[in-house]
Amino acid sequence: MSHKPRRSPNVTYETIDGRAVLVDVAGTELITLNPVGTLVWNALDGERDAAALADDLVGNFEDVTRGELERDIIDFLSELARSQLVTGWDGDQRDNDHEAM
Amino acid sequence: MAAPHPALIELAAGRRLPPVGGGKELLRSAREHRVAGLLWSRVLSGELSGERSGWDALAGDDLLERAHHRRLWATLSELDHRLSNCGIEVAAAKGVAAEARWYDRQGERPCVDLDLLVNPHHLDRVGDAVELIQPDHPLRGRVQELVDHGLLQSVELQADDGSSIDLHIDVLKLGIPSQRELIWQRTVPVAVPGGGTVRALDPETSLVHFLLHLTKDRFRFLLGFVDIARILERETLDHAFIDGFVRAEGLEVHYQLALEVVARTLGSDVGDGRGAGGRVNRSPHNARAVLWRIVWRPGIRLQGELGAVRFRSRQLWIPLPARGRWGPALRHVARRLFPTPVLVDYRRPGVGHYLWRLNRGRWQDSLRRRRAAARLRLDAGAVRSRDEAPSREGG
Repeated sequence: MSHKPRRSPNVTYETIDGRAVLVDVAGTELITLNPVGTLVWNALDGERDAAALADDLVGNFEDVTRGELERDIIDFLSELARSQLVTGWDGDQRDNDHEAM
Repeated sequence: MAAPHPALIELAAGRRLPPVGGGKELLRSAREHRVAGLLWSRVLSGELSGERSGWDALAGDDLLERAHHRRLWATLSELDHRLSNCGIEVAAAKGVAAEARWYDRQGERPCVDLDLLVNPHHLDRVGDAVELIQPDHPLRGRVQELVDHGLLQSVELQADDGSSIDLHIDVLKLGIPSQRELIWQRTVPVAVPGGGTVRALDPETSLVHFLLHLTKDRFRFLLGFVDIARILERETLDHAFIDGFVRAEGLEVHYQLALEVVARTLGSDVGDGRGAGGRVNRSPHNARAVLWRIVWRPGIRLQGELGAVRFRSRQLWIPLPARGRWGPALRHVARRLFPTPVLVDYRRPGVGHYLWRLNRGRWQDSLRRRRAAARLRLDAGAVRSRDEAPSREGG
């Protein structure tokens, strides 16, 4: 299973006033991410899993723990994957860790 | 909805814009006349005043347009490859290929569909091309027969990814035969973003094609004027070839008068009608020119969305001012007035005799257009009333 997500090469997007604006897969709607989502989106380079992303980005937030951020990133990635906006994300790695135990 | 905002004429001509804010009317007009992408380019360059956040709508439009163009390029590249593997060659006209050559960035020139011209030596394979692109097309099995009998100038298709394709047998689509082989011989390779090339019309043929297309479209959108201005500005054209080409087609009136409309509208020397040897061609005043000026008089031009529902019958007149082509032109008009039953079955399906379905369909179309025109006029009136109403702050 792959857990190192990257922005789908088929997605057209732009950052406008600090927010990433993405065109949905159908090409008919715009999806605007909040500043946190934008930070995560810009970091989706296919080199890091959710844990590594949380490690790298936690310094940008004052009142969020690393664990909370990782959970938020996982939920966010699952949403993006459902909308086919990212590749290389097959699901929550925590489920696999539990299965392996 | 109609005449473009005055600042957009400057935009279309490539000149600096007068001071304008992020006015709703400017944006609405730019969208209507298909030049929102050009307007956004001026925002990006810093030329337009006002906070960038005021232009959010334009930014969104631009993003959607760029995404659409990426898909069109992918479809164009894929179709070109698949058709070529079957021994069918095509070349792109207008659309994304034109944008790549004569505009500054992807998304500037809105493109709805792909226009593909079939190699005239492969016209006996148009049926195969339709089968490959859209196997469930309603005219499948009948297309080749229609092409062989000269009853089809183009066929509208939909690719697997939903992209609209206009497959052209004759790219000029005047209803009178054109110099297809010459047009094809002059096609040139154009780079595809991401690698590879596709064939496209050369600049000289593109200019003639755009002028004819603008005329058939009743000069309704400002974008059509920009297309022509851009080619004239950015290409070193072989005017001797253009002269010879339009003379051989009998299209001197079409070419010269459409060029004059562009030049007068944009208020520049774009399109001074410079012909072979650099001489300026005189404006024609023969009977065919008089007919052209009556049919495409100033009052019908730059009507925007309203022009889409009014003045449509003028398309029928397009071949008539062609010199020495009366016979083919009248035959074309007759075919348009009384299309072959196969095409009536396709365009006007239903129960009833051929004449009944043909005329009922025309009557229904006419009613739909009149209602659409009335709605557009009502909307325009509502917009004007809203803009003229006193504001609460000032009142």
